Amino acid sequence: MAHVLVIDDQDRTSALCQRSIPEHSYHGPARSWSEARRMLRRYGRRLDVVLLDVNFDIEPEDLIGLDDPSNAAALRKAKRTQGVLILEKLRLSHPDLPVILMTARDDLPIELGDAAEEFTHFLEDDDLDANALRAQIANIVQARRGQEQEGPIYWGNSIAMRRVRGLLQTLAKGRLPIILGGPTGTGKSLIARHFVHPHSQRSGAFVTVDLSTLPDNLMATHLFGSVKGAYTGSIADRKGAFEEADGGTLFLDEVGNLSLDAQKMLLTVLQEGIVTRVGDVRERRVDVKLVVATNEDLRGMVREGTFRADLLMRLNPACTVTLPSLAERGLDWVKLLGFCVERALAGPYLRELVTQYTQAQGMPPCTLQISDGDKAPASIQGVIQLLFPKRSMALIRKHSWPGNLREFSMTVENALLFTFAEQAQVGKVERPDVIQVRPRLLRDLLRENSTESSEAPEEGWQAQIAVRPNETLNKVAADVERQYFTQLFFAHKGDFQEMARVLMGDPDCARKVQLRFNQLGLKVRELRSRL
Amino acid sequence: MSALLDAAQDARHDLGKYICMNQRWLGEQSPLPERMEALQADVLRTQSGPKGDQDAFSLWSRLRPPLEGVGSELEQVDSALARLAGHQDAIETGTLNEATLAACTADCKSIADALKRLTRRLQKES
Repeated sequence: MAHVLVIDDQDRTSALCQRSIPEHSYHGPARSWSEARRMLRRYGRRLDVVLLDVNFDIEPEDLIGLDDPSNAAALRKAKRTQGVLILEKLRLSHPDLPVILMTARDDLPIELGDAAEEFTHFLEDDDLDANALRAQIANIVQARRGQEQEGPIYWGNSIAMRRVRGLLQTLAKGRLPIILGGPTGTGKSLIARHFVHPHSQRSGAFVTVDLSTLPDNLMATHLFGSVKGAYTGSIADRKGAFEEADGGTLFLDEVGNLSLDAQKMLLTVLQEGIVTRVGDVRERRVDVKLVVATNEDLRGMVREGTFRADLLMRLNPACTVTLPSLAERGLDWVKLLGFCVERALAGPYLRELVTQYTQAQGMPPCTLQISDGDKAPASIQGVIQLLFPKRSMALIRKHSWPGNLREFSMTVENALLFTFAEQAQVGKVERPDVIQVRPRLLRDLLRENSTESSEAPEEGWQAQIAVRPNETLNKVAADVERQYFTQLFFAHKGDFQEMARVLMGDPDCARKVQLRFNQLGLKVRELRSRL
Repeated sequence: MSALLDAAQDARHDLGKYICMNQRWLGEQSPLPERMEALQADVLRTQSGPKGDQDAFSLWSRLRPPLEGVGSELEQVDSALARLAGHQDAIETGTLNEATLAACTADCKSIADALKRLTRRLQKES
């Protein structure tokens, strides 16, 4: 089932859709941009596709893009292009939400901006019928869900991630190495294993070597193998990772840790396609798709002399794929939560806790689904809804997630474990199908996770105190407090919720902090201008 | 020319788009009562929205004047609507027989086609 928002001044399309394609859930019709905006806010993250008319015969005050309603020509143009203007507005908040424009592209009275192109589809009025629309919605939904669900990888719908995915799909099939860059926790090894390797169409094994865990003197042996007697304690011939991965993919994590000796040997493998075990003279041909990952600046390492320039060139640096951080992915947090819950449920302990809970509550086996908001959602048969109240969602959105996807997954898994463990202690409840993930729990988990050092430098902030004989202690204290608050303001980029979290352990006390600023005579506007 | 094209586009959108929409969605294989209902909706409630319903005849009487003399497409719409008007009572009461219903559906399609052709022609000429 897809969620479809109909934006149309007429009832007809919406009614026909509901009657002829009942397998989907329809919202609307929204008859103007203001109605559409309300519905987008309400259903935004659930929507799979928008069905948008172009010509809107509505009251001038409901039209957007109309400066002078008394100008008949302008009024007419605004009506005839209203759908395009709505699309432009919609794209600002929903850049990748698929939209079906109910018009022929040729009939569009104006050009559509290029930003909208990728996710905009056309269905000519004259072809618009149940079969055509059903097929189009099915294609869009299939493509959209296919992108979202690629094994254990969360791609999200951001344009950046779609590009990364497309790039990797192409690079995976080629013979050249791939460098995966990006901050820690962005899922580099996951992508190498579950995306690049399957898309490489290679039948051999996927072998992974974490170079940050290997001592320099064992690196060469581990990667290229060794023969009996090559070094003290080498009691038998041993295959290296390259030979193990022959016909498949070798993933070298933290490639920046590769010793200079091993770099030289790796260069030979990349140049010749042959491996020589340590202590051996025999050359062995290998066919390996090499994927390396790093969050270091390899070019900088070349400049410093810790990474070979010729090796970097062989690693295909021009096609480095940099995975965006979590914050840069334009996330749908609810979907990401759902994804991580599913992953967390792969763990036997959590599964057991869920089973214990359902049995204790006399429920049949249930699946878990994410729900957000402060109201208990309607019951769904066979589903336990994990309710993230607004304050919990706010905490999730506000956190900077320096550990990216890894940190997010771990936080979700911990939140589930603690929530279900707590539920096991509670007796029968009125709505066993709704379990709230409390903000306090999330706050504690995020505080534990926090690696940010922005709260204060290790050596502390310096405050200047001028003490004069006739000064009261209160005045001196206020001076210090004023300086402290100013430092805090800049350290947290003027985010009062963050400051409240630091000062009072509760971001909801932001108002109190702001009041204190006023009492101290600190001008927020002036401080902001200095940010 | 621009005013003519505007008027043609209005006619295509307001009348041509909706005059056979329900029937097209339903398909020709559907049972007679359903097709009858679809024809009624298309002809008698061609426009439906918060402003109320408008039938095809009143829509055309509003849309036609600025297009006067523009070409043969107009006559095609006129005659198709005239034929439909001839069956208006039977359409309202849902008492058309299979053959007349098929003829009415063909008339609706011919109106949509004529208005589409007219718009395309004027677009090319402008």
